[in-house]
Amino acid sequence: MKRWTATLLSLFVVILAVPAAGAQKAREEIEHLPGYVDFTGLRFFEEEDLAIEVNLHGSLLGILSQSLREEDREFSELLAKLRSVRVNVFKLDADEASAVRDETRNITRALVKEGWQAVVRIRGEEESIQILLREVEGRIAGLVAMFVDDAESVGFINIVGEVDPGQVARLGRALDIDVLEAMDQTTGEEGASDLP
Amino acid sequence: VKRSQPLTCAEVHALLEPWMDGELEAQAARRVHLHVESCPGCADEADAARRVREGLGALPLLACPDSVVQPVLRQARRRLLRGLPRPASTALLAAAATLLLVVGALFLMPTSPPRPDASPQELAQAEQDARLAMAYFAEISRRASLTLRDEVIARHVSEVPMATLDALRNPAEETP
Repeated sequence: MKRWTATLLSLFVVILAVPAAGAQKAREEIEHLPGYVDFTGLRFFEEEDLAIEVNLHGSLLGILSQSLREEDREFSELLAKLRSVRVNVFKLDADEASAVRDETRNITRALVKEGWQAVVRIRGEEESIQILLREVEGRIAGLVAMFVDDAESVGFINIVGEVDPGQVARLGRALDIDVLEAMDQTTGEEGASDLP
Repeated sequence: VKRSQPLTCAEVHALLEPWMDGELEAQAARRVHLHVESCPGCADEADAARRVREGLGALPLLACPDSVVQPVLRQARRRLLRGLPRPASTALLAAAATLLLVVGALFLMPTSPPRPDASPQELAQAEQDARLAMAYFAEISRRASLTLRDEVIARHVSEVPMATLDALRNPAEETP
């Protein structure tokens, strides 16, 4: 009888622990994907400078894709191939711009060493743009974009999954969302998740 | 053995083997030694025992044939196994198997399928976030295109008139 009690108790404990372990496992799985880039080490930004933050992962992207299947098929199909979408945009003071540009270049160099391809490297007078792709077995596994606007902001995008950058840009343009306006709205309010 | 009284011959006979093997404590060994020295009967007994030991030690070592060793080892293994805890009962095994199946199924379940518990608000927010992410990337690529175009135009279009102007300004350089 004691053995049965112990067995049932173990089963109960395991059933309680499994959902939490599953969520943790899902996060860890995404972090181990070749297209994932950890931006948590961006030490020179303060939490209060965060203007836009997007964090979408596997299960939510899946259900979002399904819910949009009828309404917006192309967007739905794009989302279905993605495992994670993260955007971090920080406000930037002009005096920090140079250091931030250096840091994005360092990140690019490190990513290239890891096997990423820098497809766009632009150092303009007032802005710099870096776009990198990670290819695995002939397929794109991830995309990173870093954008420094000296006078305004610095943004990091990491899209994990089978992403078509051209399709993302085309769909993004079609949305006609003014990102800078979105930033202004969010920075004027508390928190960074109240998007337009 | 009481430590205060001298040993009797019977006690010494019982202690002879361990005494000769050096297994006795120092005090007990000394008492046996004293008795053997003072008792001719026990001294003879001790001598006989020593001779037997020496005789046995002088005998050659013989290898035991496999036909004897293997049955003995098999018997020993059987006895050892009999001493081990009994295997779990069928019911307990069934419970353990069920537990393994449940845990295995839960862990092997794909982690990305749609969550049934996403609220409409969560979905609306997620859609907004996803669209904003795409729009932000579109904005970056648009700016990249603009910058590239400007750089290309500046380099290739303005180079021709600038070269012409230079040539007009310094005609001597044109002649070889």
